[in-house]
Order: sequence, then C-alpha cells, then structure tokens
Amino acid sequence: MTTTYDADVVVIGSGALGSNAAYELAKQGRSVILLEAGSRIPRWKILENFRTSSRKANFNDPYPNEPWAHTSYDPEYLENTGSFDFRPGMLKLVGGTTWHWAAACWRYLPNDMKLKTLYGVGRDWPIDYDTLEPYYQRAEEALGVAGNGEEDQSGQGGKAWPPRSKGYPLPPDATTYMNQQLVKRLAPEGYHYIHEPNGRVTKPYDGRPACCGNNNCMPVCPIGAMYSGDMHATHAENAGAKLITEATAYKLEKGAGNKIVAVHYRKPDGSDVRLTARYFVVAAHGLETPKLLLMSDVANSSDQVGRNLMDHTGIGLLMIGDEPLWPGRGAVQQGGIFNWRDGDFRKQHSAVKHSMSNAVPNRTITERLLKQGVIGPELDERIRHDAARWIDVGTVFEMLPSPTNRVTPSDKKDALGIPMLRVNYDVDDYVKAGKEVAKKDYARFAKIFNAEVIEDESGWQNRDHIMGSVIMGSDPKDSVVNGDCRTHDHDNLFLATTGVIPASGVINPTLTGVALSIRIADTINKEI
Amino acid sequence: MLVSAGLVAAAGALLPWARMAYAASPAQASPAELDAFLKLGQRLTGREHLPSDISARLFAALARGDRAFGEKVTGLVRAMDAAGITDMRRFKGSAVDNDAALKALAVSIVSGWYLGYTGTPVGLAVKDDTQFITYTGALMFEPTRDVTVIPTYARAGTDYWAAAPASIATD
Repeated sequence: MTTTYDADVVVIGSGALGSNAAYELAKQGRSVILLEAGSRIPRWKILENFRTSSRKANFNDPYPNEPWAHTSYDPEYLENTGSFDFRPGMLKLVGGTTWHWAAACWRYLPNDMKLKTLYGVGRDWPIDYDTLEPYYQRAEEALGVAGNGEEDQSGQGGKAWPPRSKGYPLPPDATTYMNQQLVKRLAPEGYHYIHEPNGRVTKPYDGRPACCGNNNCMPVCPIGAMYSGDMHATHAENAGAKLITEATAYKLEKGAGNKIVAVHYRKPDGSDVRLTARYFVVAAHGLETPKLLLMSDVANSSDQVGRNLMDHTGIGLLMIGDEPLWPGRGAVQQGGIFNWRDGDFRKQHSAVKHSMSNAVPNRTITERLLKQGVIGPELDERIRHDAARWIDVGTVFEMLPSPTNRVTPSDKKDALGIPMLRVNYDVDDYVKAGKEVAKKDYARFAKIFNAEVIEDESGWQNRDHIMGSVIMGSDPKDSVVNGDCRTHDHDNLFLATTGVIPASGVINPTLTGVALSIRIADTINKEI
Repeated sequence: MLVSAGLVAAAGALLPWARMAYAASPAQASPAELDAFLKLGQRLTGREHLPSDISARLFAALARGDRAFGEKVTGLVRAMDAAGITDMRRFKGSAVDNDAALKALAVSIVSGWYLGYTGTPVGLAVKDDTQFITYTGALMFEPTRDVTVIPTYARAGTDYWAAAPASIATD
C-alpha cells in the first residue's frame, strides 16, 4: 500500500532556523510546508510602530502581541517560578525573533564543544568543530556575515582562530571612531578588543542594501541591511515551500515504529488542521519547542525535554568616561573584550564576555538627567557632554546546564486553549564566580577611562540566548537529540533550535543554530 | 493654527489604534490655554519655536485624568513671571525651582518635550502609563544632531563612522 503525505517535510516555525531548513529542503525539490503561529508583517509597518511607540526601550513593543500569538513580555503568557525573571525577547511572526537581534554571528571555538573533557564541567557536544565547520560557512553565506577572519576570536591575542575553510562572505565594517579610541586605551592594559562578525551586510548582498548606520538593529533594522529570518521564509517560498501563517502547532502525533505521523495546528478561528509528512522539523523557538514536545508526550524518554535551560544571563556597567568617544555612529554594537572566553579558569568559573554598546544613548541619558531635575540650558549641555562620553558595557556569562532550570507548559491557556509557558530559572555558583571576575574588570575599566561610574551593580539581566532546553548529547538517557539534531526517540523528528546547544560558551547562538539547521536539511535530503 | 485638545480628543475617538494615546484626553482646553501652554513650553525648553500640534498633544497627555491641569499650568506661568524667569538661565535656585510642586510640573513638561513621551516606561512588559507625543520632534536629539542620528534614520554612507566627528576637538 502506498502512503500519501501532505508534504515531504513539515517545518514548524518560520524563524531564521526553520526558514533556512525549509529553504535548503525546498531548493532540493522537497515539498515543504512551513507553519508559523504569527502573522506576516511588512518591515515598514514594524518601523512605523517603533517610531510611534512610547516604549522604545521595549524591543517587543513594535511587534504584534496577539491572543493566539503572544510575545514573551506579556506577563500573562510567560510565568516565572524561580529566583530570576527569565524573560527573553521572543516574537511570533514570519521571520521570528531575529527581527530584533543585533546579528552577532560568532562561531563556537573547538574548546567550547569539549567543555567536560577539557575543564571537567558541564557537557561536551556530541560533534566536534570540524564536523560543523562547513555548515558554519554555509550559514555565514546565508546570513551575509561581515567579519574579520584575521583575528583571534578566542580572545587570547594569538593567531586567527577558530579555523576557517574560507574567508567571511563580506569584509568587516570600518572600525568606529569610538572603538579605535577604546582599543588605544584598553590594549596597553592587556584587553583584547576584537571586531564582532555580524549579519549586517557591508555591501549590497542577497537583495539587501549595505548598512549605513541607522543605529536601530534592535528592535528593527529599517532598511533590511541586517539579517532577519523573514528573508529566508521568502526564499523558501520562492523555492516552492508553502508558508501557512496564523497556524499554531499544538500536537505531534505518534504512529507505528515511534515515527511522528502528523502535526496538528489550530487557526485563530479555533479550527484544527492535521498535516502528515515523512519528516518533521520543529523550529518553534527554544521555549516553545520543548513545550510542544511535552504537550505531545514525544521525544522525552530521557525526561530532559524542557530542562537544562540556559541563557547568557549577564550584568551591566554604565559610566561616563573622560574623552569624547561618540557612541551611536554605525551599528548598535561592533565588538567586545574576549579575554575570558577560553582557558583553564573555566574549571573554576564561567567564561565572560564584555561588549560595548554603540547605540545612540540620548534617551537613557535624558531620562537620567530629568530624574535629577536638570532643565534649562544645562540640560542641552549635559546631553551632549554625556552622549559623547557614554560607555555602556554589557557582560555575559557562560552557563552550565542544570535540570532544574526548566520550561514547562503552564496551567494557563491562550485564546486557542493552548497552554502558555512556565519557567523556573536560577543562576548557579559557576556564574556567580564569573561575576566576581567581571566586577574586577569593571573596576579596571572605570580607572582606565577615569570614569564616573553610574551603575556597576545592575543585578542579573536577560540576554535572550536560549540554549539547553532540548539538549544535544550522545547518550539517549540524558539528552533529547543526537549530534544530527535528530530526536533519540523518533527517527523522523528533528529539532532546529538553539535549544539543542549543550555547552553555551559566551557567544550568541543563532549562527550555530542556523548551521545546525542547514545540516538537518542535508541529513533529511540524503534520507528522503 | 492651534488645535483644541477637545477636538483632538474627539477626532482621536475615531482612531482605531490605542497606541495613539493623545486621543484619549478628557481635557477641554481653550485656544487661549493651549497658546499659553505652547509659550510656556518654549520658555521652559529655551526654544523660540515649537510646533503647536505637538504642544497640544503634550497638553492632552499631561492633562489626562487631571481636570485641574490647565489651572496648574496657569499657576506655573504666574510663578515664572513673578520670579522674573524670562530666560531659563535664571531658573536654578529661583522660587519656582525651590517649590517642589512647581518644579515637578516644569520637569514633566520639559520631559514630554525632550523625550517625546509622557509617563513612566516599564521594561519587559506590554503595558505602562506612557503616551506617545513625538519621535523626530523629541528635543533630546537636538544637542547631538551634528554627530549622531535619530535611530532609524541615516546621516551618511557605509563606514562614515571611522572618521572622527568634526567637532571632536571641542567636544
């Protein structure tokens, strides 16, 4: 008997990871259906929403928050039970959360993937850097990454690292005046300030214009120079994939031989649809993917689905330095200090990354001055003075996976009757030890720049880098997917999410997620 | 032309978008009150010219839920006159500066003009009491317009940021 399917592959989630997987599959002639819980919104509308918003510091605000597709800043939607309010900036629309990222596209280091072996903490990846390298290259080409391949990105001031088979697709943007000055002051003190590879094109590329410094990467690049997942959702459609919006997947259906046979989704009008396929790729975000698996009772023989949740939970330093540096010219970030990225210290405390914001700081500065009651000519003078000298350091820490840091479906239901999210999250001693190191750096930074410190005890901050929630490993007893991102329990179910990442390092995980997603597409293409 | 906040409110009721918060004011300001508020804004911010439509929106936003707002504005104008504050260089240490209520009112008006919104933003939340007034008209961008951009807008081509700002020697 011949079985007929609605598609060769159903991809659930049209963010950067799902859309890249869908595109790679459609390009090879597979019939692909791409499901998206949210709507499709053109860039100009999001831009206008931003410009007319009174909450410009809230990066979710210009985006839709629908009763059937909530953003994560809706407290009704995301409930926290742990000591830390875990609240990443998650969006639901075609293209997903990369609509508002800063497009940092670092590769993990070979050592990041052998954390347990080398340093005796956390977990190893089940695959090594060399296996992933060709996919990093393809992901960089997909996203249009501009970078400096000559630097030691391990932060040790050594040879170019990690190894690359080819150069970056695009040259790096010119070093901002601010960063030139920062390097002059920091280098003699032993700090390696390096350029950040990023998905902002420096020349016209893939229909995108070169970045000209609109300085609004978060929450929306007005011109599409910065990569966002909607670009590959469109590429996937053009390659033949069918995109269905306002379609919330709520159940994966198991069949014979532990295969997934169908996905069920619900429309805002309450109607349900069942789709069958040979393969399923869940790319529904690092919090929503485990929720869907738990609701469906699939892929969880290890009891690790939703556990081991990691972010690069961080802290911040604000200060006013002694020379005009003028942040705000160019993209919102361009580099950072990576001295504590890798080394034997990882046996004792987390890796640490400091990056300097290059966002136009006028709003933060003006809010602060007005709180102090500064008005009159002094207000204009102080805005200019402080804006020229504003130094905003964001620090992130490497996390270790812990089974009690966890996302589960909530008892509360959304408008479709589908459970919302519940998160339990605490920061452990490994990170707290890293914070002590970061605070010593803060004291040195303040001294180097003869700075007036405004804030050096920010409390723990969200960094929106979700990892570990459907953790990757070689042992089916303690992990959800294998090194191919295939679920241990179901041969035809793959997870395309940064949630698979088992050792977090300190770098933004999206590029790695896209590389793994392209690799998933290659695996499925070979088998189907 | 001056726009009555009452008319703004009436027109606003027809707008579908809740984000246009200036539409919801209960204030029924007269043209004279709005004119006085515009002149007060000019005096407090040290600007000879400010747009009357933005001033009317700011009046409506600040007056929301406060029927005595017009009277408070009149009181602030009188106090500024009495203290001889024709120029804000005379504000610091004045009787108005030393009166907590008057100072708070002055700061809230200046705040609306500079920030382009009223109220207090709440981070990582979907609701707060803020109301949008203006973006490109927010005065906080004026002191740095020659060096940086109003985010979302551009000033030059790729890599312009490598050169030192023209003003660097005097900044």
